[in-house]
Order: sequence, then structure tokens, then C-alpha cells
Amino acid sequence: MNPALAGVALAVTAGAVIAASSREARAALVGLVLTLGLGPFLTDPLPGPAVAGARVVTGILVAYLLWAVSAGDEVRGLGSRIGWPAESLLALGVAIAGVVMASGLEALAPGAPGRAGGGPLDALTPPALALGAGLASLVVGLAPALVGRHALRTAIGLLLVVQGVVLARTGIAGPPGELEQLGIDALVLTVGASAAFIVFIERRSDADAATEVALGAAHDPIRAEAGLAAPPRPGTGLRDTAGRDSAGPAAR
Amino acid sequence: MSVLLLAALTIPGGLAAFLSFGRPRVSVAVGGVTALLAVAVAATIGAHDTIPLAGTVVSGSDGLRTVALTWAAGIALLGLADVLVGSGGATLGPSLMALGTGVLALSVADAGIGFALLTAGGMAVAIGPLAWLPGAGSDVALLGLRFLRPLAIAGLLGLGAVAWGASAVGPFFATEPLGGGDPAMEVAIGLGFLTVVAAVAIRMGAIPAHVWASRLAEAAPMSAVPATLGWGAAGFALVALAWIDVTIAPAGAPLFAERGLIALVASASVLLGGLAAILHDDIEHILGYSIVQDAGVALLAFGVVRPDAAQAGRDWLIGMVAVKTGLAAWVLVTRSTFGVRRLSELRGWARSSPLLAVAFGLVVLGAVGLPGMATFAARGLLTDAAVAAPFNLVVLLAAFAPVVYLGRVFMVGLDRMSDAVRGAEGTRPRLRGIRPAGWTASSVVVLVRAMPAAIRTNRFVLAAGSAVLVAVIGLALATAGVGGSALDQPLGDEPGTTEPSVPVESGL
Repeated sequence: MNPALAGVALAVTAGAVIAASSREARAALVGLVLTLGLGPFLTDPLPGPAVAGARVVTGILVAYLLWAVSAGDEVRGLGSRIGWPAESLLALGVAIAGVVMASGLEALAPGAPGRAGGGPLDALTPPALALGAGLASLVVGLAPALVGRHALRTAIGLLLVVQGVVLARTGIAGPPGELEQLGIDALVLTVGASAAFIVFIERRSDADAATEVALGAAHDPIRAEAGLAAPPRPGTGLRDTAGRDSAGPAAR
Repeated sequence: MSVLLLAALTIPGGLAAFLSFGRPRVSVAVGGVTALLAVAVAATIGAHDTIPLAGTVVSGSDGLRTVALTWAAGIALLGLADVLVGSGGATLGPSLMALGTGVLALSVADAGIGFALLTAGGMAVAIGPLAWLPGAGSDVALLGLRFLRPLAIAGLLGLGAVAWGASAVGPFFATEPLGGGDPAMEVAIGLGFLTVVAAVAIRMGAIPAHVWASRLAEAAPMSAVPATLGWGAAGFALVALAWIDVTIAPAGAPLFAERGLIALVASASVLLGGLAAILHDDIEHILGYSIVQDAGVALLAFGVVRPDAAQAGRDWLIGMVAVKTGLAAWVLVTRSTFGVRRLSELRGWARSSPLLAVAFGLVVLGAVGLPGMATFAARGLLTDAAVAAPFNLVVLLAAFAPVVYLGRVFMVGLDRMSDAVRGAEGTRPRLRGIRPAGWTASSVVVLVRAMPAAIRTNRFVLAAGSAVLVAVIGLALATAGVGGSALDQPLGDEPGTTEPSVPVESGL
């Protein structure tokens, strides 16, 4: 076992749990930076400085973009419904399963001696750590990525899933080549930038809606006195129980 | 070198055009110049255009040149129409970025790189233009999420399948020959096969993963539709076909259940996509469901793991994408010219605008096909090979649904003009009145100064002319195909350089 790599795997997994379960945007994005920034180092041999630098800078840039479009206001929809302890247990269980799977895969590899007789820590090889951390990141990111109703949470989930798949790929098929690393870098950057645009659009519409509500209340003294907002207009983001926009024609 | 030059030109150029869209003139100038240069560079891609890059090899081919040239020309012409009458060129920058990543993806011998780059390009062109839509609100944000998820899922499924293929449990490391009858390996190969085909089905918008595609055709700027559902999706399918050729085909596994499932999904897309296109009254919906139907035919290429079916699939993919780019250009210009999009309100459109009628006629010819055309032959071969008799005849008949739904649009165009069509202005060229002194009596300087007014007055006609050119390109590609030239010169095929972890050796 390489203690440094084990520490990196632990940090990546912890970052994924924090990103998926934190209710504060700042903490969630710090967790995301941990996962995206340290993930590329979960390989043996380590990637070249240019590739590693590109991956780390991309991780920080993506988190910064998301922070820039969501900063200064209260962010809706973050946080896990099952709470961070449950997310941690889930991640830990999946990571252990990943390590076991990696051991099995190593035994199947051509010319592999097998690991019979080794201690439990001997199973923590670099591919096993990558697969374990990757599957943990993938699993905790799935729910926000697929069923998240708000852009920032969905973005964090999608980025965790992307990083999870990339780490799992490293674990089962070896480290990607340099150009593939750069392709993955482009993918992470595009997911992050696209998600940041969506967060920007969502927050801009929220601000517009808030302005309209304030103006509506100002023009309606009875409602203003009662502390009520103006009636909502079509396409202002009200959603039904299935998460569909209640009015916007494009969303239908 | 020219492939790299194309990527180095279009990715930053497209990004600059996108980020400067707040200043429309700068954005259009940057995007327009980049698109024109991209056409020129794409024309120089050649079979011997090979260069090592970051541990792999970037290779050109005649097939890649055809794809890159057509793709770049489509972006330039559709961008021109969009600038004249559409969203003002909001999609020009993202489309160029998608072109750069797509061509680079098709030029390398690694399916993982291909899936990653094509997914990135698809996201850029699907999400980017939404940021500039006027009146963007929470419904637009919701739309963005609904586009982002399927694109990401498709890309990640592709990456996952490539990782499995290169792993210790993948076919490259099998201890016995793959036809040796190991049932576990056969199941694994079947699952890997289905994973990649599922990724392609989602990416192309085939039924049952069609909802996002139909929403995209309805809600996104029209010029973003071919870039997202057309070229990018076709590139994704080409990479998948090449990966299957290298990873699945050598196994020789029968895969009866998997092929049956693929044929079922593909047939459903062909039948239901065609039916939906016939039933809908909105030209954007007709375009969207016609793309769903095309995706069904393309999926049939995955139902038969055979070289001739793969070649037919490539011909179909590229030919149909080019034709549907023409249809998207026609939809964009028609909707902008007449201000309506329902067939009931578009009566007499062809009588009002002969140029649009020409463009649409060319699209119909390309979509329906004639014996001797590459797409016509490909459609017949794929339905015969992938679907059991006598159901293949039903699927083939349904694949000719464009005769009905495009024919209906054409017949509506020949009808008596509706109020909306009659009220439309600028459907025919108009030069009189722009220069009161006349064109021949003026100096060159005066004529140049009069050009902006002439362009403004004739913008619908110019956009229709642009649509005609896109339709001509589509018809040419549907006729010629790309299969033959591509197979002679596979991409990334440097003996000794292809590794098991980078299993694609013939993208086109």
C-alpha cells in the first residue's frame, strides 16, 4: 500500500461526500475541488506535469465558475436528503466494493501472480484505490446528477459522476494516455462551464422574478399590506410536483 | 497537421465568437472569418496527413476531409442564414467549437478520446446558445439541464464501455479465443455492446431516448439542431461503430438477444419517428421527429456486426446529417420569413418563395433518395440485414415516411396562400429602389455604400439562397456517401501504434 495514494483516495472520497451533502455552496465547491483536483493523482505512474497541471487547473476553474455564478446569494437545493453520515457510509461501502473488484481484476490480468496470502492492506494497490474512490464519487453523485431540481446541485452531481467514471476507468483499464487525459479535461471543463451557464440563467430568472414580485406588491397596496407577493406570471419557474415547469412553453 | 490546424483554429475562434456575443458585430465577424478559414483548412485534410500528438497519432483521410468540409460549410452557410434572419449567430461560436472537437475526435485512434471530445462539443453547442436567448428564464435553465443530462450520460456510457474493453475482463485479455464458447465472456461482450449502443441511442435521440431531442428541436435556436443532433451525434455513432469493429466484431459471438433488442429499438424509432413526423403540424416538430427516424435507421447498423453494414451505416449517417442540415436551414428561413411554423398557417409558402421551394425540393430528394444514391442503398441494406423477414419490409416502408411528411409540406406550399404567407415581405429578390439613381450609373464607392441596405432588404432571399446551398451539399453527400473512400484509408491506422487500450483503428 502506498500511504500517500491512500490519503489522496480518502481525500477524493471525502470531497465527493462533502460536495454531494453540504447545504452551503462554499463547502460543496471546496469538496468538488478536492475531488476534481486530486483525482488525477490517483494513478501509478503519476501523469506528466503538464497533464496533471491542466487537470488541477480545470478542477479549480470549474469550481470557481460555479462559485462566481452562485456567490453572494442563498443557494437553493443543495444538500443531501439522507444527510452526510448516510452519504459517507454509502461512499465507504462502495469504495470497499471497488477495492475488492479491483483485486479480482488484478487476479484475472494476464501473468498476474494473484494475491493469495497477502494482508488486507496489500489490496490497496493504486488501481484499487482509483476504482474505490471512483465508484464512491460516482455513486454519491448519481442522485443529484439525475434527479437534482436545481442547476448547481445537478452540476455538482454531474461533475462527481464524470470524475467517478474517469477514476473507475483508471482503476480497471490503467491510466489514460495524455491525449485522453486532455479529452477528459475538455469534458470536465465543458460540463462545468455548461452547468455554470445554466446556474447563471436560473439565478438571473430568480432575480427577475423577485423584482417582479416586489414591483407587483408595490403596485398592489392591499397585497403589500398583507405581506403577499403579486400573483406569479407564466414561465417564472414555478414547478409542479413532478418537477416540471408549470407554465413555460419551451419546457413543455 | 491540417486536422490539428483546424482544431487550433475553430476551438479558440469559436470560443471568442461565443464570448463576444454581447457585441454582435464583433462576434459575427470573428465567427464568420473562423468559419470561412475552417472551410479552407478542412479542404486540405489528406490521407497522408499524420502527426503524433501526446502519445497517440492524429491522422487524416479522404473520408475525414469529406466530413470536415461538409460540416464546416454547413456551419458557415447555416451561420449566414442565422445571422440574416435567425438568432443573430448565437450558435456560430459553439458550432465551431463542436467542429474542432469533433474532427479531432474522428482523427485519433482512441475511442475514449473520441467519446470525451464529442460529448464536450455536443454540450457546448446545446447549452451555449441558451445563455444568449432573449427572455431566458427558469424554464430555459430547466431545458438546459434536460439537454445536459442525456449528453453526459451518453458520453459516460461510452467511456465506461471503452474502459471495460481495455480491462482485464475485456475481450483483448481473454485467455481463450473469443469464439471459444466462454459463456461469461459472451455475456460480458453482449453487455459492453449494449452499453455502447445505448449511448448512441441516447446521443442520437432514438426512441425511447427521444424526448430531449424533440425538445431541442422545438426550443433551441434552429441552427443548433444540426450541430447537436446531426454532426455531433453522427460523429459519436461513427466512433462507436469503429470501436465495435475492433472490440466486438473479432469475438464472433452470436449476440442474438442483443441484436434482436437493437433491431427492436431501431424499428420502433423508424416506425414511431416517421408516424410522429406525419402527425405533427409544426415544421420544427417535423424536423425533430425526422431526425429521430434517421437515428433508427442508423441504429440498424449496430444490429449487424458486419463490415458492409458498418460501411452502410457510415454512408447513412453522414448523408442524412447533411440532408437534415439542409432541412434545418429551410425550417430556419421559412419560420423567419413567414413568422409562423404551423403547416395550417404556411399554405402557399412555395408559391411565395421559389428559392425556398428549390431548397425544400433538394431536401426531399436527399431524404427520400433514388436508386443509385448511397443513402438509398444503405437504407435497403441495413433493413434487410438487421430485421428479419417479413418485418424488414415493414421497416423499409416506414423508412420511406419522408415521402408522406415532406410531401405534405410541399403540397401545402403549393396551396392557396394563407394570410401569414401573403403578408410576408422580401420573399423575392428586390434591387429597385435601393439606389434611386440606378446601379449602373453609380460609382463603385456608392455601390459599396448601398450594399448594406441591399442586404437588409434582401435578407430573406439571401438566407433562402444559403439554404439552397446547404441542401445542394446534402444531396451531393447523400448521393456519393463516404464509405468507399473511408475504408480504403482508415484513420489512425499506423501499424504498431494501436494499443489494446486505444482500440479504434478506423473512425471513418
